[in-house]
Amino acid sequence: MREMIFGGRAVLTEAQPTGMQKMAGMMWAPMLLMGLMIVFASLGLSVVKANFASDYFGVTKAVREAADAPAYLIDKRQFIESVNVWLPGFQLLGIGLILSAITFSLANILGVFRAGGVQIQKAFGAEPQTITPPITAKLFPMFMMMGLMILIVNLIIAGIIGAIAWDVYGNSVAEINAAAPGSSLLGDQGTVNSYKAWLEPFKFVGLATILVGISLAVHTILQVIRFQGQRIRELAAGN
Amino acid sequence: MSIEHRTDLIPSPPIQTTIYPLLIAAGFAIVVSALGIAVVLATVANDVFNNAKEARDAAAVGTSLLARQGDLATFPLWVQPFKFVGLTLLISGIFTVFWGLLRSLREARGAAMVESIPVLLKGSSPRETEGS
Repeated sequence: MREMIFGGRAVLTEAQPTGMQKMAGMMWAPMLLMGLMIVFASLGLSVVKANFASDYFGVTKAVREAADAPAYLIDKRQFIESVNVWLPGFQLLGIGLILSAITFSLANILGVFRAGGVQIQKAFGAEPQTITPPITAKLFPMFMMMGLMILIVNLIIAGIIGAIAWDVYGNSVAEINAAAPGSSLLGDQGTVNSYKAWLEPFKFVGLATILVGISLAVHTILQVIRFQGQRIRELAAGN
Repeated sequence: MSIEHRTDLIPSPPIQTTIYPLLIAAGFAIVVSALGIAVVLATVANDVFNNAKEARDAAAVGTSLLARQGDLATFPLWVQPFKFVGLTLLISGIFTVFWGLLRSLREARGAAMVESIPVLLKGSSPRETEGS
C-alpha cells in the first residue's frame, strides 16, 4: 500500500525513460502547436463576429426587428448567435491543449531524471536504482486525458446547440419574439438558453481537471528529487 | 525487483506538500459547485423559455415567472467570479507544489550533492574524476 502511494524502488538495467515518458517527449510540441492554432483561429473568428455585430448594430432597432428585416441582417445575427454558443468552448479547448503540452513536458522531465539517474549510478559503479511510479505518477496522465475529454465533449455538445441556434436565429426577430408556447421555435430557444447556462461552467471543470493533473505531475518530480537526494547519500555511504 | 523505499537520509517532505492538496481540492470543489449551480439555472431557463416572449415580458411583480427571470439574470453575475476563485485556488496549489519542489531541490537533493559528491569523487579513480 505504502509502495503504491509513495513509490518503491526497482533496479534498472537500461538508462531509458518509460513508454509514457517517451510518448510525452514526442507529443508536447504537437499539442502546443494545436493549442496555439485553435487560440489564434478563435481570435480570427471573434474579429469576424465583431465586424458582423458592428454591421448589425449599424441599423436602427426598428429595421433589425421588423418582420421583413433584410436577409443580410438575419444572416449576420444567425452567425453571431451560433458562434456565441460554441466559440468559448473552442477557445478553452485550445487552452486545454496548451496546458496538456505543459503536462507532457513535465512527464518528459521525469523521463530525463529517470535515465540520468541510472547513468550517474552506473558511472559510480553502483547498482542503478530508480523510484517506482508513486500514485501521483499514475494519476496525472489520467487527469490530463479526462480534462481534455471533458473539453472535447463540451465542444461537441456546443456544436450541436450551435446548429440549433443557427436554425432559431435564421428567423427574423419578430418571428422569434412571436413564437407561441408549444411551438418548436420556442422549444429550440429554450434548449439553446438552458444548454448555454451549464456548458459555460462545464468547460471550466475540464480545465480544472487538467490543472489538478499538472499539480500531481509537479509533485511526482518533487518525489523523484527527494529520491535522488536519498540515493546520492546512500552512494556516498557505500550502499 | 522491488527494494524497500528509504527516506532516512533526507529531511521530511516540505510543508507545501501537505498544503497544496487542500488548495487543489478546494479549487476543484468550487469549480464543480459552479457547474452544479449552472445545472439548476439551466432547468430554470428551460421553464422560463416555455413561455412566449409576450408572457415573459408581461410577468407581474411577485409572480414566479418574473422571479425566475431575475434568477437567470443575477446568478451568473456572481457564479462567474466564484468559478474564477476556484481556478485561482487551483493555480495557487500548483504554485505551492512548485515551492515545495524548490525546497526539495535545495534541502534534499542540493544538500545531499554538496555533502556526498566530494566523498564520491574521492572514491572514484582519477580517470573517472577527470571525466575523460
